[in-house]
Amino acid sequence: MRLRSAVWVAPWRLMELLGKEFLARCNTLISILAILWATVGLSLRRSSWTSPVRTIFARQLLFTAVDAVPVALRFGAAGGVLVIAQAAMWSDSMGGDSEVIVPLIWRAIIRELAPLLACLVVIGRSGIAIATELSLMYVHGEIEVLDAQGIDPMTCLVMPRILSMIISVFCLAIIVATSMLLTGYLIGWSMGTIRFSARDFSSDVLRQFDAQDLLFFVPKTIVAGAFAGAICCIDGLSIRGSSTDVPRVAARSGIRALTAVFAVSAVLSILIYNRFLIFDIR
Amino acid sequence: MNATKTSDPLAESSATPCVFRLRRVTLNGKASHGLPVHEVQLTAAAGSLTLIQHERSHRTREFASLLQGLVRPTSGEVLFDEQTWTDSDYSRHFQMRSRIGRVFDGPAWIQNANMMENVTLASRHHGSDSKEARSRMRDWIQRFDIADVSRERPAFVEPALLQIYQWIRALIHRPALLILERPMQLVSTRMLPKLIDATNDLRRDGGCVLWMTNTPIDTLNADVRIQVQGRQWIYIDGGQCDE
Repeated sequence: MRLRSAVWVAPWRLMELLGKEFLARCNTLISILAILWATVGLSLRRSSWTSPVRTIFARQLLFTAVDAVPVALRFGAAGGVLVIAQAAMWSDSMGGDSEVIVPLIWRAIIRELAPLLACLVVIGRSGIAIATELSLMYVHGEIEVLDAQGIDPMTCLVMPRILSMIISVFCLAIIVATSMLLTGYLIGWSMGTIRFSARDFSSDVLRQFDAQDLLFFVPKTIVAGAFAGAICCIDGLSIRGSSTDVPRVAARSGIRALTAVFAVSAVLSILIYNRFLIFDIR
Repeated sequence: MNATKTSDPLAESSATPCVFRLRRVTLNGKASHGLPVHEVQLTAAAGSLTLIQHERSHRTREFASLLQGLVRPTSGEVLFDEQTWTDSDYSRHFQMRSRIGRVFDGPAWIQNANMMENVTLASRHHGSDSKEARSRMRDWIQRFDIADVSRERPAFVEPALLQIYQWIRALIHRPALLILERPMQLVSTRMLPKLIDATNDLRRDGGCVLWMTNTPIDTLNADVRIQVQGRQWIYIDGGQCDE
């Protein structure tokens, strides 16, 4: 009798669990979209850009974008060597030339790799730092101090940070892409893997550039940066407890932001290519 | 900034508008040692000074937040300048809070900013010119005769000095309501006359002062004196409420 009831109850419990998990995910997504909507609204309002907010935004941009340039160059260089050397070797073994290899490299870098690497740099350097800073501010009562002085924490803390994440991912993705192409070519050429001249390479690269690349590059960097920024801010401000909880919140925030970036990237690829793997979804 | 009184704010307070009003307010707060608030009725007019003397174990942070609309009362109504905090017009709430100066019970600094940025942050955010805010801060530093640590971060400033800088932060934008939570907690008593002078100046300009302390201050010319013992609010001077 007990076994029979267990057999009946187990699927319902599983469904309940799945339902709860689904609703929790929906809730998270709604929170992120709400924060992003508020950010857009506040950033368009002239009165939001008071002198302290401008200062906070400039400092955040300096830390997230400008200070991250050397890291982006290093990431791009390492990624470029791997991608271009591999692509050249494979095209060699299959008897291809620059006509085959350049479009492949260009699309892989511009449409997928550069936005992803830029997101990794920004989340690793700044996203986790933002979550840590905001959670420490919350724990030490600094958010209450701002609120008590009539300063909206959303305008003063969240909006400048999310905007600077978006701008940083976009700018760093351009730097990563440039670094990947240049370093990849130089290393490949010096090792003899790439045999065509720099002029051929650059003219081939420039020829590959079309408006459709922007359709991939711009949404991927902006949407991924926005999601990463919103997740780090939400996690930082949703801390409950003491300062010993801060490392846990920061680590979780980094993982959640990375997961979101990969998910956003995948969803955008599906939407833009209009196909899921090899299947057309029209 | 003159220390001598030109008029008695006490005499004027009955004719002046109400700055804050508590109507049968009860707060079952989170803090276990918070100031007990049960069916409290309190009105403070412009130019008045209300002194609340509480027990040593009481913490006032939640009560002060209640006055600023940061904490919702369990029952009753809190009004500032005859406006409630209960609606969802948050921009108005932030504007209302910008007219309240507060000295917190305990640390209350943005650790990532220096003292100058901290003290002038609210003024600059609410439209004051940066230069003007800085010069006003320097005036207050001179008036209180304290060390200029504008470029230091709060972590590197001694607690007594930090508390005086909290006075400056609360007074710098000439608030309509000044909430002082144990403002002399860490400060030498020789600074008390200077703080009283500053609050008297504010009262003469139409500001209202709410001073909370756990030690009696006889030199204060308070309009309303309240003693909080256990859960009871005992009104020593001044009426309970006009309603």
